[in-house]
Amino acid sequence: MNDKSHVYRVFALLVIAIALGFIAQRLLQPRSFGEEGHYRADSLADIMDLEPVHQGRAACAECHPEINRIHQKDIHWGVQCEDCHGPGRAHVRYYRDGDGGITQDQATMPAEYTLEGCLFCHRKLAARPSTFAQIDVAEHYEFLHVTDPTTPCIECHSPHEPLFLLESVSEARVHPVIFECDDCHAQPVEGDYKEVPHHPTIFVCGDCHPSVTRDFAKHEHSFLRCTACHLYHPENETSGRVFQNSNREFCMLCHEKKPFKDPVGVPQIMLRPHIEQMAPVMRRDAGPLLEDPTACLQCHFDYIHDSRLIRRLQEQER
Amino acid sequence: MSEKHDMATRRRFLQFALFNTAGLCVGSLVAFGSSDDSASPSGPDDLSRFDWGFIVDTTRCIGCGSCVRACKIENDVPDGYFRTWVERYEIDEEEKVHVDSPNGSLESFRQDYVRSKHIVKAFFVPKLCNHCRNSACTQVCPVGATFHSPDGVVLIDREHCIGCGYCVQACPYGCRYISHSLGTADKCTLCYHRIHRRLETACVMACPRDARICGNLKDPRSRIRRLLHERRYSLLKPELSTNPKCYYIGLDLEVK
Repeated sequence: MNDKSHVYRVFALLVIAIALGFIAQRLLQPRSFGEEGHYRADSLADIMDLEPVHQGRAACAECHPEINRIHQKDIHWGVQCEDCHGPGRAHVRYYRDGDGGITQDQATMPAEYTLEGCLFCHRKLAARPSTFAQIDVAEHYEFLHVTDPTTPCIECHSPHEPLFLLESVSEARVHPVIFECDDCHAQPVEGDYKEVPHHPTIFVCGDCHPSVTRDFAKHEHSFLRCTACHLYHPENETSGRVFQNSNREFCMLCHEKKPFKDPVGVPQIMLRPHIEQMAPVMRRDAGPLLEDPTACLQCHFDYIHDSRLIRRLQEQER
Repeated sequence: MSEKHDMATRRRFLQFALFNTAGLCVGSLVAFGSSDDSASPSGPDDLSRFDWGFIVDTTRCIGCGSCVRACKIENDVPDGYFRTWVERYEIDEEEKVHVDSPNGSLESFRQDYVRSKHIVKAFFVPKLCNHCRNSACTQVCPVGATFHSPDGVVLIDREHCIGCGYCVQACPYGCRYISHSLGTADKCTLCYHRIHRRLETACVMACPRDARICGNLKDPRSRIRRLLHERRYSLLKPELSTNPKCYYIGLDLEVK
């Protein structure tokens, strides 16, 4: 009997150890651990309960429907309000929900982009897809005779409809791709591409619109590419969209008199005085012209294209 | 006599060993039996209907950094750490590859990295947690603080994490960091708090080029499934068999 006692002792110790282990597991293991897997099931709810900071454009549109409507037409529709203005949680809580715990200061939208903000997307970089609109600021400002290199883009481009598209993106016409040599070649190239074996065909505007491009070459703006005014918006590798811009604000991007521009260079005007002064000369009524979004082209069309040619083409299209 | 005694001790020893093993078996059954991996979620949302996946279309990315900024704010990511970042690859005329991501591209890129040589090829690659099906990070966690949610998102339990950093070392994609303010590991949650409110993740919402798509891989009609059928895609480090759920469209061989 006596020589079996150590076996009982071992068993007793074992039972105690198991019991202690069981108690320790109950005490140390967090509640809900292992309910759904080898983790604390409640942590899912903890993570889900975090409050979203970005509100989305639907929340912005509730109180700013007009800006939303303008923005919707623009090519920048894909850019969320909060991309440029910062997250809207405090703003929405204060103005929409009347949260007393937030001050007006905190509710002010935190960010407002200047030059650098636009350049986050539009600075010319080798790694950016060549079909995406990119700006070398120095070149752009030299072309526009802008003397102050810190001038923000929004001095000329409306931040909510920077490209003045007259049609909604979804209604625009599909158009074949147009390539220029420097879309693919970083170094200047010489000679005719047709002499290079297996070179892909380059579609240029003149392939389909020879009369218009020939005529355009005779006029004042012949130094511009067609795509400077007729925006080409590539949708994917094989097709794109073209918008016609006859909006006066588009003309004014180059021709409006601004304090930060070099007065020598491109002819510059102030729109209202110019219309009021010139309407009688052109035997027109200044009132409707001031309201007309295509006011510039009413008189200046022939400086861009021959208006008779364009009318004839438009009639053919109809 | 002594032989008999030896026999008795041997029998007792064998008995002792047998009982001990049996005891240990029963003990471990009790101790570990309750935490078997029986992932049978049946929450209010029925999470098992979802399997969240992600597409990055590198051909569309313009490296603007909107995703990085949005993620940083949405998830209160500490300075110098990133849950998502954008890498830039530039290949010069001597076929040398230059990779950079200044401050995670939080403020985009200010100029080309290679300026003295002609760049023959360049592109951006946004990176984030791959939410691997066979994730290395969840396997090494000593306390079960990082796990796969029933809807296929790799998450961290901040209350339970001890901040040992094993998972940070284990992740082959460098997607985890130690948050010194929380004292825990931290990573992309695929904006778990947003996707369960049927909102897009912060980075997907912020992307102006639609280069990021997040969706339910279990839904045959979802956009992510349609895109995976339409486009040709690749994975990061497929040789590691981590089985990532972040699919890269137009991924270059140089990207690791």
